[in-house]
Amino acid sequence: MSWATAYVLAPAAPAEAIGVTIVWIFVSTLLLDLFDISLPRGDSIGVSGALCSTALLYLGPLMAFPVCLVSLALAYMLRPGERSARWITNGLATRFASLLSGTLTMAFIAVAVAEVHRDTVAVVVVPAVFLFSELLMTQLEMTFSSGRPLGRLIRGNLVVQAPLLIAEWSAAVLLLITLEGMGSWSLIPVVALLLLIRQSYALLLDIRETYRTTVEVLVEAAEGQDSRLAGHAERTAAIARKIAMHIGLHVPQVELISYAALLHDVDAISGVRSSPDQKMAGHSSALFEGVDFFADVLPILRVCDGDFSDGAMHEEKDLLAGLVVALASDADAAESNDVAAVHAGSLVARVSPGVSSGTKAAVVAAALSLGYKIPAIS
Amino acid sequence: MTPAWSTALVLVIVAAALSEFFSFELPNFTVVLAYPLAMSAVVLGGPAASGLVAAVSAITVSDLMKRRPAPILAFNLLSLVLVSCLAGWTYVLLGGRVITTSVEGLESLNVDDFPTTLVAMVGCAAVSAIANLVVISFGISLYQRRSFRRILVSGFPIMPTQLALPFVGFLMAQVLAINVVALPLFIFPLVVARQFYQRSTALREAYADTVRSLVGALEAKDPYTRGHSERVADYALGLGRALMLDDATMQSLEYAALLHDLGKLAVPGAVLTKPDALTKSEVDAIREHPARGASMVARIPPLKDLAGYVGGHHEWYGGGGYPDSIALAEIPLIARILAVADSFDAMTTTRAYRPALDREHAISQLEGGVGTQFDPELVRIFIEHRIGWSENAAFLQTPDDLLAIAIAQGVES
Repeated sequence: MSWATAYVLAPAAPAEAIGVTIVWIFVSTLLLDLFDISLPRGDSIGVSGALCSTALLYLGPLMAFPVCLVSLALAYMLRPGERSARWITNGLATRFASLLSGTLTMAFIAVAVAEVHRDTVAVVVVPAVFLFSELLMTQLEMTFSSGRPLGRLIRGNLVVQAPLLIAEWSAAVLLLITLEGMGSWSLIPVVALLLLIRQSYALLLDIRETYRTTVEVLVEAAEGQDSRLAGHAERTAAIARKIAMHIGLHVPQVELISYAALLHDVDAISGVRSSPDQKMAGHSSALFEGVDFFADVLPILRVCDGDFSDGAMHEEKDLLAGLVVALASDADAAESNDVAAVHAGSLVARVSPGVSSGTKAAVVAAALSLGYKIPAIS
Repeated sequence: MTPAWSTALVLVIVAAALSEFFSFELPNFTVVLAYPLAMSAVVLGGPAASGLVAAVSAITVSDLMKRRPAPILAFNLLSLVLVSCLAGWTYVLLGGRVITTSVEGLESLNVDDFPTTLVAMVGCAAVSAIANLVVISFGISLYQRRSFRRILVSGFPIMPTQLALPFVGFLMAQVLAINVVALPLFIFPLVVARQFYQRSTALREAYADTVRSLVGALEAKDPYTRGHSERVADYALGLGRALMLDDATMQSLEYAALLHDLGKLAVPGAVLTKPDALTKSEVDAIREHPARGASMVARIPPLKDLAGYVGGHHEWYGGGGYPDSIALAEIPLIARILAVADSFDAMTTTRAYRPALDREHAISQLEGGVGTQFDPELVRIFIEHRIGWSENAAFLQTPDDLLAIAIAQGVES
């Protein structure tokens, strides 16, 4: 028995010819790969991992590797124009590595687990290892491309993707339970279940993206009032996002910081603040009081507004986020005389009195290591 | 570990009774997770079992707490039982195998049952999804006195979900027959899907409010136009209601009204509040705003269809408007509605170059523009339905606005 066929879950008397199962798993995986969800930052999330891990256990690695890799390659070919060669290579490498880690886990189970428990352990562990490997590989690629620490990336994305991973794992186990009796017919309800999960997640991402674009477009429109500020909010958001990611903040917090950065000057561009001078207290947060969607952004905007009056309580995470936005805004002003002229002062100077020295050190270190010019902070 | 069929049925009934806590709301409709459980009962015990599970889940604790009227509870109960039984009969009629073989046991589906059972499953899913939509749309149209067809059409987007859920139910029955211990595995995928649906629905419902707030915040720079987009949205929706537009068009109308002056945000405040005659370049800057706004709206993917409405709100019904000088039906209905609502609000609010007109004067101006600037039918409906009387009294600007206007005009207050 070679390592590649160390342990296979397929029954001694399969319900149907193995060729039929191979074809159906291939077609189903292809279908799910075609419907993976592209994420705004360039990568994607799919739900075909459940089928790939099942293929590994049911067909054996020798068949699972070609079935799962060819289906993915074919899916990329059928969605032309969307993906770069680097993106495709990364996708295939991720799947290869996940299949490999699943195979090694199977080999380990074959050696280390008593035969009586082997099926149960394999059904529970192999899909989990496969799915976690997929997440790990995606984050590894992002570490190489962005220089962000792997541990923090995984921690952050695990929080966001855990429900999806658990749901996929459940679907894989359900498929393995039903494959033996129903044969490849059991793929139909499982694929329906996976598409249901995929559809619900895609809807959520769609509406989030709509909000994001709407805010960007509206702020950009208002910036047209003063050509010197054109693009400042968007550039600040991009810099703030990079600093926040470099610090290792979780994805949801990075998203909030990015929104706060887009809106930090909205009082000036809407004319609520008579002068855009950063030495004066801001009023951006007041404009969004009571708007549900911005409820979590408001505490950060209050910090950016320099609201440190008696009784104003700020959580440490909001102070950190506010400083990130302020530093990003000043970093953009340092690159643009126009923005600097409009601001006539440092936003960091407005924000920093309320922030602890430890937080300042962390944010400044991140900004400096990313090569941004920053003002002196007391 | 295979339970006796009665135990399996009790398990499904208990799960169905608890399933109200896992339902999720979609526009007009609530997807209850008792639905896949009722479908699993079809495979477990046929139409009667399915009807029983549906009956148990039909009247929920929250229905009783909210003291819903008895006719509504009766309608819910009857319609759910009817749809479930209908789905069950379809399954049996098409040759689907019921897996209860005797009092003792369940015999799980096997490969020999297919493709006949698959055909039965597809038929069952299709019948239940369609019957459910038709019955619920009928109930809503009867209760809310709204168009049956429109409610039916608004339910089409949830059809893929309604078609997928029965298959989850069939899988439940199979897992129940093979190993009941594995049944909790369904909790994760269904709860995850429910959470994602709930969050996206909540965000979708809050979108209009968020856009209102954002536009309101950005309009604040100009005391003359503060709240303008929100008032235009109210007038436009009033017209839309009078025209009995469907839900989707009303939503488009609201978003288009809120964003119709997006391009104007970029016009310098000094130009917008200038009390004197504008120079040619200033006029050009203002006349560019519909096209500029349209191109900005087109960048928001779900709203890109609104670009034509935003870009067309200064077109004249008889031709001669801007930017394209199109006329009559070439101008989309929503753009024609916006033209009336926008002009009415502009006339009834104080501007830098003139004070606000009273309502009667503004109405007579609208009538004066019938056929040339405005769609005659829309102006007639606007006047007949007294739109602008009840939406709000916003055109009587707030004391803060009037003070700001006074300051802008250099008037001592």
